Amino acid sequence: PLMLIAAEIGLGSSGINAEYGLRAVKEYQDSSLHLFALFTGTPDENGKSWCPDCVRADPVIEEAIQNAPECSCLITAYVGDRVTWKDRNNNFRKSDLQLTSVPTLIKVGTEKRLEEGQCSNRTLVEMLFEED
Amino acid sequence: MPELERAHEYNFDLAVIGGGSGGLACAKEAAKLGAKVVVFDFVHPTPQKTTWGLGGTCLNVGCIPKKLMHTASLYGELIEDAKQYGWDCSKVGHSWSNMVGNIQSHIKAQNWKIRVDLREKNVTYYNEYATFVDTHTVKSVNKRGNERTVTADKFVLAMGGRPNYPDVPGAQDYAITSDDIFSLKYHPGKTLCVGASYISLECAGFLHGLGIDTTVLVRSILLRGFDRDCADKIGSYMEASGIKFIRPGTPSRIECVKEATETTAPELRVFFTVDGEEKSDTFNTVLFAIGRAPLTDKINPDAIGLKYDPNLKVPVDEAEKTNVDNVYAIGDLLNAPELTPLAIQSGRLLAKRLYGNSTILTDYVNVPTTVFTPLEYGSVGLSEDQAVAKYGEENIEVYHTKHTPTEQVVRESSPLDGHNFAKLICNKADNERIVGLHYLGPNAGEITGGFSVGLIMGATKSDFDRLVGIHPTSSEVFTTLKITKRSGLSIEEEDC
Repeated sequence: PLMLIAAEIGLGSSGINAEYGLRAVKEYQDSSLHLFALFTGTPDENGKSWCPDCVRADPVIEEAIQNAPECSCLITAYVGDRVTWKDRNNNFRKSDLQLTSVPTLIKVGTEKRLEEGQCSNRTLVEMLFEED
Repeated sequence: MPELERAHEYNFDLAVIGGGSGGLACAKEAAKLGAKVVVFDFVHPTPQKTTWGLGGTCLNVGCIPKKLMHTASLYGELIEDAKQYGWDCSKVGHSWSNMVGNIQSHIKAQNWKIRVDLREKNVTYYNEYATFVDTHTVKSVNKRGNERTVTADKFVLAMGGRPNYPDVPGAQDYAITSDDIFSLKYHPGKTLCVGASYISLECAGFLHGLGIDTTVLVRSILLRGFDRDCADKIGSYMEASGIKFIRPGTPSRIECVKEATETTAPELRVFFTVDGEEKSDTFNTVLFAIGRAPLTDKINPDAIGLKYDPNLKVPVDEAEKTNVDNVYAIGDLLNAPELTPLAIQSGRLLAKRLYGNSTILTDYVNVPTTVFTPLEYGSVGLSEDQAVAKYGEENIEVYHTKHTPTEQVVRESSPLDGHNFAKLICNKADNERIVGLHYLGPNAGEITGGFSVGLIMGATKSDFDRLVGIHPTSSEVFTTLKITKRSGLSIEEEDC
C-alpha cells in the first residue's frame, strides 16, 4: 500500500541526518520498498510555499505517484524558508544528498533525480516513479 | 518543434538500434530536426552476469571508467612525486571498492540523465533487444520476454561490439573482460591480462598502478597498427615499471582452484604455451582483451539482406549507407577507428543529411586518438610504416626526439627514464607536409587534440618550426624538432 509521510525535517534538523534517516527507513521496511523523497520549500504559516517550482511540481507529483509501484513510500522533507534555504550552510546543501535546488525528487538508493522544472514535467516524474 | 511532413505510414521516421555514443547522437539530432525517433538499447549480460544501463560502451564499460581508473592509478604516481615536492604522504593506501563505487555512481547518474534527456527531447526509448523482420519492421523483446513490433521509415545500426572470448576451456566460466573489470565487486587480486591490444595494455597499466600484481600474456607484437617506435617504448616502459610480460605465449586452459565469492576473487590456475612448452601459474583474475566483435549477426541481418564482412564489420558508402537503401550504420560497426567522437560526429551529420538540408559528410581521415597506458600515447595521422607504404621511404622524413617533462625532474633516476618521445612524420614530396604526429608522455590527449587542427589544415614542418612553444611544457617539444631519423644522430637529451 502506498504511504505518504510528510516529515517536518526543517530548522534545527540536520540534512545529514535526513540522508541516514531515509536509508534507515528503507532498510527497516521491506527491502523491496520503493522509497522516494521530495525536498521542497517550507510553507509559511498560511501554508503558502515561497518556491514557485515547488508549487508547480506538487500537483504533478501527487498525480504521478498514484501509478507508482506497490510498496512505494514518499517522504517529503522541508528544507526551510527562502532565507534558510539560500544560506550556503543549509544542512541539506552540505549533506551527502548534494542538494543544489528545490524541488528535488529522488528515488532513494539510486541515481534517479529530478530537479526544479523537471519536477513539474509529468513524463519525467512518471519515469522516476516507474519500476525498472 | 514542428514535426516533419510524413510521407509514410510507419510508426517512426527513424529507428536507431543501439543506444551508445553514435546511436544517441544520431537520435537526438534527428528529433531536434523534427523526426519521430525510437532508440532500442539492450545489454545482454556477460558470462559473469555483468550488465549496465543506457549509454553504450564508452560510458559504461569503455572510455569513461577507463579514463577514471587510469587517473586513479596516475594519482598513485603523483603521490610518489609529491613526496619530492615536500608533501608528507606517509599514510596512503587505495581502496578498490571505494573507487569502483564512486565510478559506478557517476555512470549510473549518467545512465539516468540520458533517459531524462531522451524524454525531454521526445525520443522514444525501449530497453529492448531489436531484430529485423523486414526492411521496415523490427521485433523487440524486453528482459521479461514481452515482445513488440515496430515499423520505421529508416534505420540506423549503432549496436557497436562486445569483447571476444577465446576458444579456451574455462575461459567463459572463469575469466572476465573489459565488460566486467570496471564494476568488479571484489578486488581483482593477482591479474593476468591476455592480449596486446590497447584495451589489454590500458587495463594492465592501471591495475599495476593501483598496486596490483599484473602480468600481460601476448601472442606477438604490442599495439598492432600503431606506430612501431611508440608501441615498443610503451612496452619497455610498462616492463620497467614492474608489469610482467609473457611473450610470446598463448593460453591453453583455465581451471578453478577456488570459486569466487561475493567479496573475493577466485583462485584460477592458468595454463599457457610458451615456446611449445606448457607452463602454468595461479591468478585471481584473468582478463581477456583479444579483440572485439561487432553485433551485426545478432539483429537478424539476413531478414533484410544486409551485406557484412566475415569479421562482421558493415561496409557503407561515404554517407554511411549500407547495401540496404533505408538502412545506415555508424560507430564501431564500421571499418573505421572505433572512437566515441567519431561515432557522435557521424551520427549527428547523418541525421542532418537525412532530416535537415545538409550535405556534409564525416571526415574519417586524420582522426586523433590517445592510448591511456601508464605512458600515454597520442597520435594523429599515419604511423611511420603506413607513411612509408603510402608515400615511399625516400619521400618520408621523420623528425624525432626524447623529452623530459619539467614536473618529473624531481624524480630519482630509474629505468622509467628516457621513454617520453615525440615524432613528426613529413612528406618531403609535398613541402614536408605533416602526415603523422606521435607523442609519448603526460597529457597526451590534451596535446594531440590541440595539434590535430594543424594536421587537418595541412600544416608543414616549417609551420611547426614557426610556432613558438610554451615553456616549460611537454607540448613545446613539437616546435623545436631538428634531428631526423635518417641522420642517425642520437636523440638522448641535452639540457635546455
